[in-house]
Amino acid sequence: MPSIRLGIVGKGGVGKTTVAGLVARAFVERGRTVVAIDTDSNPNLGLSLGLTLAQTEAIPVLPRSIIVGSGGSTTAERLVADYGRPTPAGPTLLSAIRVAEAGAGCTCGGHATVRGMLSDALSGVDVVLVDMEAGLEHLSRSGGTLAYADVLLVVCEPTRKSVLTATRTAALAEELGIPRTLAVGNKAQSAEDVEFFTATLNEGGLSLATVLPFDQQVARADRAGSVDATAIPAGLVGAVDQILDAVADAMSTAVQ
Amino acid sequence: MRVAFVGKGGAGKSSIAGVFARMLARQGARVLALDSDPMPGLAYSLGVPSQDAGIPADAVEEYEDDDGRRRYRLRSGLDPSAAIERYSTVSPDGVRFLQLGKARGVKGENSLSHQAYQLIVDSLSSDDWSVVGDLPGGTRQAFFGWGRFAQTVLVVAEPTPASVLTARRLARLALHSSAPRVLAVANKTRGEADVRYVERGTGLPVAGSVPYDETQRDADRRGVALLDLDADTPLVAAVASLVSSLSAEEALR
Repeated sequence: MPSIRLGIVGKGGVGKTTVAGLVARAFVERGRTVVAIDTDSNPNLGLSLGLTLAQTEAIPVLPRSIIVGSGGSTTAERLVADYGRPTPAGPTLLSAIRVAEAGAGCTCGGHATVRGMLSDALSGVDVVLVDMEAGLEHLSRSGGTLAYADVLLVVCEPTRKSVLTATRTAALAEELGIPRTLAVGNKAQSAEDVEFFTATLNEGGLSLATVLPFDQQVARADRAGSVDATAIPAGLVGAVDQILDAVADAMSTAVQ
Repeated sequence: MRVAFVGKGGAGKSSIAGVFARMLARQGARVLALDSDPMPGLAYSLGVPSQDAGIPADAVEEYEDDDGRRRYRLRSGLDPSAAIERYSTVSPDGVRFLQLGKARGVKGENSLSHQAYQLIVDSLSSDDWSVVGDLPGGTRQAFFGWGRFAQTVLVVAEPTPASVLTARRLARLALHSSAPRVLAVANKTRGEADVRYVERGTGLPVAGSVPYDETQRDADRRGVALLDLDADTPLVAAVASLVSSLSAEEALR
């Protein structure tokens, strides 16, 4: 079993995929073997891990609705070997869902496969990180894609709406039995923004792992569509380290 | 006019849709603003209090069709306009706001409420209502046909590769549905080059360019509608001009 199974969630546009890429890279820098799974029907995680768009789109999509593990037709290891692709940032990337045309089928099957993968032993892998599609349908539907996650990172930006989404997400996660949820404030441009996160997340009963400052290098990379994923931007190193430390703390606290 | 705003999460769909709906209402149209996001959505940018409640389950009734299958329809005596009257809230400028109930828990069973929402939307008459819909970010709902009420799909895109990539995927979905027209709205632009980038990246005609707006950031943090904070901002001016040009076009058709 991977030692940490991490889900990354939050409102659209808050920076889930960017944070997922940074956290994945930071685990690699600490010597961990990382598998990253993109469950967005509109996959972009490859870009944050240093692939080009063409490479991202060429990643084969995981088969749908297969039973993984004991009694199933395959194992998580097999799926990583067959469908995973290496990335410049270090993690092996898997793509779970892709929507090509309207009415071409349902995405639930892809989520079911990811759920199965998280439930299965995956030897030789330390961290499995799942970048979730915005919205909560798949946190709640069919037992929940992330039902086997150890820690949920819920990302928000300095807006009321993203914080409200974060607190809703945390409530659902608790109902699902995900043991620990940590908030990450993103794109803070001022002390006022940091204060905003502290006050509003506290009010919502969420514990704040860290606040990532708005970073010019990330913004430029977003606009250019090419990320140097082999190094964490200097301005974010400290905050990303705090996320990993908070995850480690959460893991060591026995909950449930 | 019936428009649906789609786009990547965070592209600015709700911010633009809220201003769009209110500006359209100021021109005298009877406007219905639709929010099908199960997470907190359009209420903030329209300026109505954010609530969770959707349409109550008793708005629909079950019946058997000719083949003996169980179907749903609006409760007898409840026509779409009456349903809107009853289940919508009124925003500043008189926009009627109808939303999908917000997700609160894993066990909340809301399929009847969703049925009611879709039945109302599907049976609206164009003669009575101008419709401004705000779909959740990403490709999921568009994929399942939630934007099918629209005559014009407005794909909101920032000048970034991830945003135009989503827009391109959405354009493909929209073009497969019955919407006759798909246009891009470039958002958070900082010059003509950004507009051209969105045009090239989405492969769509750009109906409007909305400049980056610092006041919108402030409104987002406070959780208030931009129009109620400051009506004289670049975003408001750009959306007003988008409303005018689409209305003028509509009048010619």
